[in-house]
Amino acid sequence: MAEVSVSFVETKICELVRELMPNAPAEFSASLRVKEDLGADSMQVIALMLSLDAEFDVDLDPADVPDNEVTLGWVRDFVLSAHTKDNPPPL
Amino acid sequence: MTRVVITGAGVISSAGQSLDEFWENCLRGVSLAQDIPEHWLHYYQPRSKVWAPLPSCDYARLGITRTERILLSTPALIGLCASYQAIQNAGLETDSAGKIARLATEKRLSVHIGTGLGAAHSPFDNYATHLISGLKPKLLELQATYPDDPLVRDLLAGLKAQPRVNPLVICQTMPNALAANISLRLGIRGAVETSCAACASGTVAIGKAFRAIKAGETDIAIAGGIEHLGDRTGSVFMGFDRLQTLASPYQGLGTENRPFDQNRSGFLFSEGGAAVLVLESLESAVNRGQKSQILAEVVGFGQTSDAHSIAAISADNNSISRMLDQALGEACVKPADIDYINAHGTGTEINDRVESGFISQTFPHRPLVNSTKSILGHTIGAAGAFEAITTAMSLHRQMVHPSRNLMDPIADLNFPLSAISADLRLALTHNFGFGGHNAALVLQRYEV
Repeated sequence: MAEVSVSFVETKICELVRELMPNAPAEFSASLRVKEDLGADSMQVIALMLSLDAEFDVDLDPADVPDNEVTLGWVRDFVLSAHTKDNPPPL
Repeated sequence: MTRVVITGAGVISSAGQSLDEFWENCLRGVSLAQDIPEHWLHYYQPRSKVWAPLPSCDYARLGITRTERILLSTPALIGLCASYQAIQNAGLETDSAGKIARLATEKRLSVHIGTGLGAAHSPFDNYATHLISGLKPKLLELQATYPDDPLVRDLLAGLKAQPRVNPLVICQTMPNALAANISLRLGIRGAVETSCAACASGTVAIGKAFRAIKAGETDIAIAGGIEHLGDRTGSVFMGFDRLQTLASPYQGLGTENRPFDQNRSGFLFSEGGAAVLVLESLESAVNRGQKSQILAEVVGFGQTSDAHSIAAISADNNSISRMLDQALGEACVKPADIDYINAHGTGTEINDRVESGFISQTFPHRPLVNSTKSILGHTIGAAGAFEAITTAMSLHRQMVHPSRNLMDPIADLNFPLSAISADLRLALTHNFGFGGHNAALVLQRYEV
């Protein structure tokens, strides 16, 4: 299985965010903050975590999420770090 | 006095995933019984060998998003699907976000949902995941040695790569989550309540919606019953089986479920379903231009408790009589006015004996009597709502469905053995639940 591409992860994150967040962006931007910029509340952050788990098989503990600091770039890097060439996601 | 009418209904069931499909299958008296999954037999040797599984829903077609499918329990999802069907059937418009936005600000809306177990499978699944996640490497070794073993395959299918704790386990499990998710999705800000009365839950929920509209507390109510037992390993099935409440093998697949028959042995275990109605004041329905959509009028509700047993019905009929007195009294009618009774009709030995005796004694004029459970099986907390829909459709279409598998009746009641047309003005539907809950609704053909 090929290593997951950065653009694929960014596209999927954008899809999830559009379904979940009030101020979803048209395109991926690494600097966008999930709470401040996208307007997510705490339940929507949990929803994003569960959705990432379902899409990428990554276990994101709420305690590991840096409060008020999470950006889409952080989310993307978390997914990418969980899946290397030797440990691809179940896509 | 405020008149209360039913203007819409939605159904997710083993007998169909729309109101029309469900009603047609009831009239046809279809069999839904299937053999239980083979791997359940690894855990327990049950007396009953059949169930009525709920086919998977096309959630996307029914407007449920991908993230909702991830976040919500199955009972919450099927409840939303049935609710959307019901409000569409009732001609209630939603905005682009799927909410009854205009009405939410201008009129009073409420939600009344009955359920027996809520989403009890959610903590079960979480607990099971905790217990066996650490064993995954060993299970994978076992699967390599025994690749066709269904037990190992089943256990592995439920395990992700690492142990998980679902942060929404509480939000999914709490019984009020089913009603709350309907409120959230539709933007309903009035009373949102849950009735938990085992097999009478759906009837109680509709009765409370009826009373709320009649008292002027709400104009439109989304009301019904939702149950999905999420019984991946047959654990709930086995509980009912050990109580000897489930249908035993008889003369082949589809013959086991025999309400009111001499050879009955228990009910057909249904995986679940959702039945949701829209109740509203007649004034509201007329103002919305929905007069032609009215399925039936709700005219009476009664609710009592046996205070006798946590599981068995009381044989003295006293509480059932009081329930009926309440419901008929509120409707200002007499037993002799009832044209049709949609019975609880589980197919268990004692329930059918007590119920048929009560009907014989109280309704000597021989109204039509059938059991929707003879077709659908028992959907526990949703049963009363399914049967309220069947009763409303019977009044609306002036037809009743057959009581399936009734070859040798235990009482001389007027059981239809095939779908028949009938002149129906007043109908009774009642349910009796574990815990001693009794509830009845009186429905009337809508007339101006």
